[in-house]
Amino acid sequence: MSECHEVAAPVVSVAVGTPLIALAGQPNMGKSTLFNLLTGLNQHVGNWTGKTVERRQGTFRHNGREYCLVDLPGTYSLTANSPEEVVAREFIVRERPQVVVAVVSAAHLERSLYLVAELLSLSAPVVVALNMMDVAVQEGITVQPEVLAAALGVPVVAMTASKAVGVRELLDVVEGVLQGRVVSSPRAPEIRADHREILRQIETLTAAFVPAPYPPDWVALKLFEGDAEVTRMMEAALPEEKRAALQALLREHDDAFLVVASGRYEWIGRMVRAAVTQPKIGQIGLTERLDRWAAHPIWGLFILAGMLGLVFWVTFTLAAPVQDWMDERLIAPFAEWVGGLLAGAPAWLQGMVVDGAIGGVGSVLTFLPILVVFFAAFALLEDVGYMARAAYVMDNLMHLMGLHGKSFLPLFLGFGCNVPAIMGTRVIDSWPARLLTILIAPLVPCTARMVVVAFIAPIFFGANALWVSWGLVLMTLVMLVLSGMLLNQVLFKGQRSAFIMEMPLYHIPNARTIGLLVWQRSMSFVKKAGTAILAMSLLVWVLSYLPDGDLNTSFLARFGQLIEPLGRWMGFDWRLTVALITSFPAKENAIATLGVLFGNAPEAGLSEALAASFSTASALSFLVVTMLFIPCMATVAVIRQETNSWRWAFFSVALFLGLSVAGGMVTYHLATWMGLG
Amino acid sequence: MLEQLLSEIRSGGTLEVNALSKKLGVSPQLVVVMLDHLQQAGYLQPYAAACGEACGGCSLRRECSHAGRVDLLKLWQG
Repeated sequence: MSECHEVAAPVVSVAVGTPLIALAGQPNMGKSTLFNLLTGLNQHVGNWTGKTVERRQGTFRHNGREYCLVDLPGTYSLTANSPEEVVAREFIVRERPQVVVAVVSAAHLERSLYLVAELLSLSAPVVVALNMMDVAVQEGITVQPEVLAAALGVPVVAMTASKAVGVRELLDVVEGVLQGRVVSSPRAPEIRADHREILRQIETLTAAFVPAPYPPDWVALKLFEGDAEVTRMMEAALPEEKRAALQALLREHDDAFLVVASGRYEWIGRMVRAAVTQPKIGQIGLTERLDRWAAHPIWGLFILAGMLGLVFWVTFTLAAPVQDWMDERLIAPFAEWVGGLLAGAPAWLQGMVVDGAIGGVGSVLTFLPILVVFFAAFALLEDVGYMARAAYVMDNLMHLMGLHGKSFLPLFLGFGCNVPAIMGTRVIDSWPARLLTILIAPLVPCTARMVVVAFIAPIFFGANALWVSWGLVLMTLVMLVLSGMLLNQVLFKGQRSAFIMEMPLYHIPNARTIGLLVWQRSMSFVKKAGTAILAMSLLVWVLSYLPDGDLNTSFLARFGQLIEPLGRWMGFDWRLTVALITSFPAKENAIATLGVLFGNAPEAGLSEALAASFSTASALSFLVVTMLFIPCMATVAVIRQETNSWRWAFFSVALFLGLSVAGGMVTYHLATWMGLG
Repeated sequence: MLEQLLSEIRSGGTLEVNALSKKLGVSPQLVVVMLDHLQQAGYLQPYAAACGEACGGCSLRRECSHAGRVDLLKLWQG
C-alpha cells in the first residue's frame, strides 16, 4: 500500500500504481459536486503542506479499477496571484497526475476556459468535463461538445454533475486516455507573432537553468508574463550575467502580461465562436431592438425626457385627486373631530394639536399618494431595466458636453438624495475638482424636492403642472450641465476616464419587487413625518402662537416680517418666506409649515387656501427657489464632513441662498411682466 | 484583444458592454470576463459608491438603490 499522494499529511491509502487524477476548475463550476459524487465517503479533507488551503482527496472505482482523485483548489488561472493558484499548478508540475479533468461550465464557457488555456500550456493531459449542461439549456445556450473537442484538441464530455448525468462517460474517457485509446493533440493558445521571438530568447537564456521538473517552455512563458513566483525561482537559479540579461529583456516588454493574456482571450473567443450558439431570440433580441432607441445618443435623450414627463403626468393624474380628497375629506374632518374632542381643553392645546400637529404632519401625509405613485413609477422603470439606459444616455450627453465622467457619476446618485452624491465624490483624486463637484452636487434635484414640486405645482398650475414640473427639473439639469462644463474646462482639462456599464436585459416587472420598494420608501417617509416633520410642525406652531395666541403678532410673524423684505423681492409674503426657511432641516417641512400657517383657513383644504393666497408668479418663484434653495441639513453636514471644513459648508449655504434668491427674483419679475402676477 | 479593450477604455466616455463586444468581435460575456481580469491585474479600478452609513439620516436613502444601482455602474480608469 502506498499513499495517494506524497505531499499530503494523513491520506487515503491506495495500492501502488493507482492512477492519479486531478480535478481542476474555477470556483462554482461544480467541481466539488463531481468530487463528492465520485468519491462518496472515501475522501479525506486536510490542508496542503505549509498552506492554509484546503486539500481534498479520495478514491473511486470504475470498471473494477481504483483511481486516486485529488480536488485541486478552485482557481481562475495558474498565475501566482493566490496561494490556491500556486498549490494547483505546483501539484500538476510536481506530482504529474496522469489525467487532469478540467471542470468547466457550459453556461459560462468564457469564464471557464482561461484555466483550460493555462492547463494546455502546461502540457498537462487534459480531459474537459463540460458541466452544467442543464443550466446552459435553461439559458438558451447551445454548446456542441464535439466541436469544442475538435477546437481544443482534447476530449470533451458533456455532463450535469448535480444530476449525475454524463459521469460514467467522463470516466470512460479518462480510462481511455490512461489506456492510450483516446489520443489528444491539444491546441494551446499562442502569443502574437511579433512577441514569439522574444519568448524564444527568454527560453534560450533560461532553459539550461530551469529546476526540474518545471517545463522550460512554460517557465519562459511565465517569466514573460511577469509571474512573481516563477521570476523569484529563476532569479535564484540563474547565474549573475544571465539574470541581468533576462531582466533587461523583460524590462523592454513590460506589456507582456497583456500580450500573453490577450493570446488566451483570442483563443477563448475562437473556441466560443466555434462551439457556442446563443440564439438571439426572446429577451436578448427584444433588448437589442429596444436599445436601438432607448440607448441611442439622441433618441435616448428624448425618451428619457418623455419618461420623466410621463412619471409626473401619471403622478398628477392618479395621485393629485386622491391627495385633494385626503386633504378635504380626511385631514380636515379629522382635525374638526379632534377639535370637537378637545372642546373643553385650553385653547393653546387645541391649537397645538389641531393646527400644529394635524395641520403640519397631516398636510405632509397627504403627500403619501403622490409619493406612492412617484416611487411606484420609478420602481417600475428600475425593475424593467430602464434606469441603466437612463444613466447611459445621460452620461453620454454629459460626456459630449465635456463633463468629466468622474464628476458625473457621483452626481447621478444625487437624484435619490444629495448625501450619497457628495460622499461619492471620493472617487475624484484631485482635491479642487472634488471640492467643486461637492459644491455643484446640490443642484441635482433630489426626490424630496421633486415631491415638494409635485405637491405645489398642481395647486397653482392645474393641467399645466406637468409642464411646470418638467421645466423645473430641466432648468436645474441645464444649470448642472453648465456648471459641470465650467468645472471640466477649469479643472479636468486633459484628464480622461471611462464609464463602463453592463445593461441588464429588459424584463417583465415583478409586482412584489415594486410593491416592496414602494412600501419601504413610503414607510420611511411616514416615519420621517412622525418624527422630524412633527417636531418642526410643533415648533412652528409654538412660535406662531406665542406670546398672545395671535398669528399676526406672534414671534414667528415678527421673525417673518423681519426677513420679509428679502422674500418680497421674490414675490413671497412672510409666511412663504418662513416656510422656505423651515425646509432647511428637511425639504418637506415647507409643506408642513404652510399646513400649520394656513391650517385655520375656514372650510377649505390647504390647496384652496394656498391657491387663494398667492399669485401664479409667486408660486412659480417659490418652486424655482425650492429647487435651488440651501441644501438640506443632512447635505450641509456631509459637505462639512467631506471637506472637513465649516468654511466650505457655509460657503455652500451662501452660494445656494444667493442662487435661489436670484433665481426667484428673475422668475417672479419675468412672470409678473408676462402677466401672471 | 486586451490592448484593444484598454485602448477603447482609455479613449474615455461612456462604454457599454454590448457595444464593446461588437467592436471586439467577441461575446459580451467575454468582455465582462476581460474587464474583471484587467481589474484584478490593477489596470482598472471599480467604481464604488459611498452610500451607506452617510445616508442614515435621510428618509429617502432607499432611493439610492434605484438611482445609484451601483452594481450596474462601474467607473474604470486606465
